[in-house]
Amino acid sequence: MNNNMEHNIQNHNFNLPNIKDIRIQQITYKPPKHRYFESSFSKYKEAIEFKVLTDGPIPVRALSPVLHIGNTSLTEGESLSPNEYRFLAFKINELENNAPIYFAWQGDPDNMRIKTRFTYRKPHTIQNNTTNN
Amino acid sequence: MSHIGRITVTISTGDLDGASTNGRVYLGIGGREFRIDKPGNQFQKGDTDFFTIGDGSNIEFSDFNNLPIIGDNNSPRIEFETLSNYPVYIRFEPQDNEDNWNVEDVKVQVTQYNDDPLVATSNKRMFIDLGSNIWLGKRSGLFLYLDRFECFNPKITYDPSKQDLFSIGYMEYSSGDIKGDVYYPLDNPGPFPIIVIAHGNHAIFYNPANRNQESCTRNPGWIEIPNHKGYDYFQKQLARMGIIAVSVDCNSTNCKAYGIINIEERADLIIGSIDHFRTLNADVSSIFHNKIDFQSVGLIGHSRGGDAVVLVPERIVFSNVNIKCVISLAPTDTGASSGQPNGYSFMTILPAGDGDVSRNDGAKFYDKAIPSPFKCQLYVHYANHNFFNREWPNDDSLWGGSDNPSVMSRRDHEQILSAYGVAFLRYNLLNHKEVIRFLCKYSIPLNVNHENVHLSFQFDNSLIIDNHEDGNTININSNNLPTTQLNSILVDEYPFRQGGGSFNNSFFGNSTGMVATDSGINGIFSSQLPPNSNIEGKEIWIRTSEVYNMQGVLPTGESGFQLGLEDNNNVKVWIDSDEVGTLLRPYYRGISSTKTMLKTLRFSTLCFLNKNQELQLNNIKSILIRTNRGDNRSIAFDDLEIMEILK
Repeated sequence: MNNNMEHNIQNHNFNLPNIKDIRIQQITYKPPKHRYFESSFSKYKEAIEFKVLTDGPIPVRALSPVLHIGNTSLTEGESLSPNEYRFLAFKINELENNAPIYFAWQGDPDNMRIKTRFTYRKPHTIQNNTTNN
Repeated sequence: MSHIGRITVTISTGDLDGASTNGRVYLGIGGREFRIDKPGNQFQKGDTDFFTIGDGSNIEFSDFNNLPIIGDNNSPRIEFETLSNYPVYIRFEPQDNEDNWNVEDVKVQVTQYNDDPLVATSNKRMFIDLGSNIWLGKRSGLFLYLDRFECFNPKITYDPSKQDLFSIGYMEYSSGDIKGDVYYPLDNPGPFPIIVIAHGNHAIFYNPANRNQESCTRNPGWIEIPNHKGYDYFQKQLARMGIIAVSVDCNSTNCKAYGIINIEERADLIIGSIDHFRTLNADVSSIFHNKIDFQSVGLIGHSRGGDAVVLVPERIVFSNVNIKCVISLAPTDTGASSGQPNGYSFMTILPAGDGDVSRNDGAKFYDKAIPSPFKCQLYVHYANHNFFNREWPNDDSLWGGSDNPSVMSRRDHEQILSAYGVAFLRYNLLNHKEVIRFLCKYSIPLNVNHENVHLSFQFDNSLIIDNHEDGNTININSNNLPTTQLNSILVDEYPFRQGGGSFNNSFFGNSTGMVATDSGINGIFSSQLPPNSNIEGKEIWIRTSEVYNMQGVLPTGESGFQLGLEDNNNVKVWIDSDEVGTLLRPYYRGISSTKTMLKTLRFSTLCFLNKNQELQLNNIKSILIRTNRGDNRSIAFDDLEIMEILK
C-alpha cells in the first residue's frame, strides 16, 4: 500500500557550481575549540588551504562537498562567503604535486567526480593565515 | 469426509510458588470437552505434561473421553472443517477456593484423518496461548482461550505513540548559543527521562511570500527557519507519556562548515544542551529542579544531527549521564565517530527514497552497532529525507533522478517516526517491554503505513550461528562448525559494502554476508549447529534480501527461499520465506542507485513443529537454506541466529 503520494518537485538540484579559481597556500592551523571535548583536529598545527571560488553557491544539503587532490580527499571545509569556500588538507605529505583536482559530493563514486581545470602545486611558504574556527 | 484423528496437548505449569494443582483440567475443542488427565501426577510446578487424545491416546477414561476412530454415540467425532466454528480453550476446575494453578504455556495440535483409508493426512492445525503466565482459579478465572497458531501473522494492535498520561508544558531556553525548546510533562514530580533532538544541515532563512524559497543568507524581509521546531509533533507525544523532549537549535552550525568539524560542532551543542538541563535540574528555582532522570537519556538526530548523536556518547564525559538509546534518522556518516554504536540501544531509520543522503549511510551504523541490548533498522520505502521535519518543505526524493518513485505523504512519514520511534524510546527509557513487539514485527502499530517499513533487529542475547564476520571462509560458520553446499547452489561470502570485493555495487552497509545463487530448484546450504542443540521455544532469525542485479530492470515477481531444520534422525522440515513475510525486493531508484538492503525474517520453531511433529527440536543438527525458485536470482543473507520467542 502506498497511499497519499505527493510530488512536490521544486527547482532544486544538487549540481555543484563550476570552480573558477583555486588558490593554494600552506597555513598555520588553529583547530576548533569545543566546550565539552577536544576536537579530533587539535593535533594539527598546519594545513594546506585550498581557497575555491565558484560561479554559484554550493547547494545546502546533508552531504558535504569534497575536493579530491588526486587520490587524496579533502572533506573538511567551510563556506567563507557566497561563492567562496575553503578546503583543508592536514596530511600535507600525501598530496602529490601536479595531481588533478576533482570536485564532488561526499561518497560519490569516482565516475561522478567533476574534473576541474586545476592541478595541485605544492606551495613554497607558510602563510600566517588561520582558519575561522 | 475427514475428521480429527488425534489431538496432542502440551501444558507447562509455571515455575512459581503455589503454581501446582491437583484440580481437574479440561480441553474445549470442536464444540465438546475432554478431561486432560493421565495416570500419575500432572500440573506440578515447573513440569511440562504431554497428552494425546484419539489415535495413540494416553488419557484416562478413554472409553468415553476420547476421539473415536469411527462414529461412536458415546464420544462423537469432530469434523476437521468445523474446527473454526468453536473456541479452543483450557478450563480449570479447582479442588477448592484456595486451589490456584499457574499456566505458563499451552499448545494444542490437531491432526486430520481421512476416513478411507483411515490414515493421518498432512493437514494439521495448532492452537497456542499468546500471553505470558496466567493464574487460573476461583479468584482469578477458570478459562484460558487459545489462538490459532500461524507462522507469521502480526496483528495490528495499537499506536504506541498515543499514550496521553500528562498534560504538557512548553518553553524555549537559551544560554549563549546553547538554545532550543522543550516540551515536558506537567503536574507530576518526576523524575522523568529526557531525550535530546538535533536537526541537520539546512537553509536558515525563508521567503515569507514563498515558503519553498530558502537560503543561507538573509535577504530583505526573509525570516529565520526554526529548524529545531520541525519535530514538535514528536516532542509533544513524548512529553504526554512522561519523557522530557528537548530540541536543540543547531542553526549556528548550518550553512557553515563541512565534514567532521561540523559534526563535532553539532555534538558540542547537544552536550551543551544536556549540560544546560543538568544545571536546571540542580537549580531549586527552576521548574526542572529534580525533575530529570539523567540515568535515562535518549538522543535523536536527523541528517547531520544523526551523525552527531553517534558521536556524542563517545565524547560526553558527564559522570551522572547515562545515554541509554540513540535514534539516527537518515544520518550522514562523515567519519566523525567510530561508526560503531555501542553501550546503548540503537535505531536507524533509512528512507529508501532519500534524495540527499542517497547512500543511506545509517546502514553502516546498523551493521557495525553492537546491540546493547538491542538494535534495529527501519528501511522505509516511499520515504524521503525531509518529510520527518515540518520545517523542511521540499520533497527531495526526486532530486538527482527523474525515475525515482514518488513518496508517501508527510503525515505518513511522521506517523512512522512517531510509532516506531516512540516504541523504541518507551522500551529503553520507560521500561515498557511489551512495545518491543512493534520493532520485531510481532505486532503492527495502528494507523501506520507499515507495509513500507522493513525491519532489521537484533538483541545481545541471541545465539549467533553465522554472521560471516569471522574471516573463516564460507565453509565454517561462526561456531567454528562446518557448512556444506549441495546440488546446484553457489554460495560464498562477500563484503556487504561499497568498494572492492563486494558481490556487486548494490550493497551500502558495512558488513560481511553471504550470497546464494541457484539456477536449479533444490540447492541446499547447510550450517551445522553445536551437538544436541535444543531450540524448543525459539526462533531462527536471518537477515535477507533479493540482490539487485545492477541491470536497471527488476525481474518480474518475487523470489524466495526455504529455511529448514534437520534433526539427528535426519528429519527435515522446511518453511518457505513466503510463510513468514516476503523476501525484500530492491527499491528501484534507477540503474546505479538501487540498493540491496536486508531485513530480518523470523522463523518460529513452532512453525516447523506444526508441519511435522516428528521433528525433534531438542536434537537439531543443522539449519538449512534451500534455493527452490529456479529463477537464477541471487539472494543475500546475513546474521543467522537463534533467539527466544518474544512474548
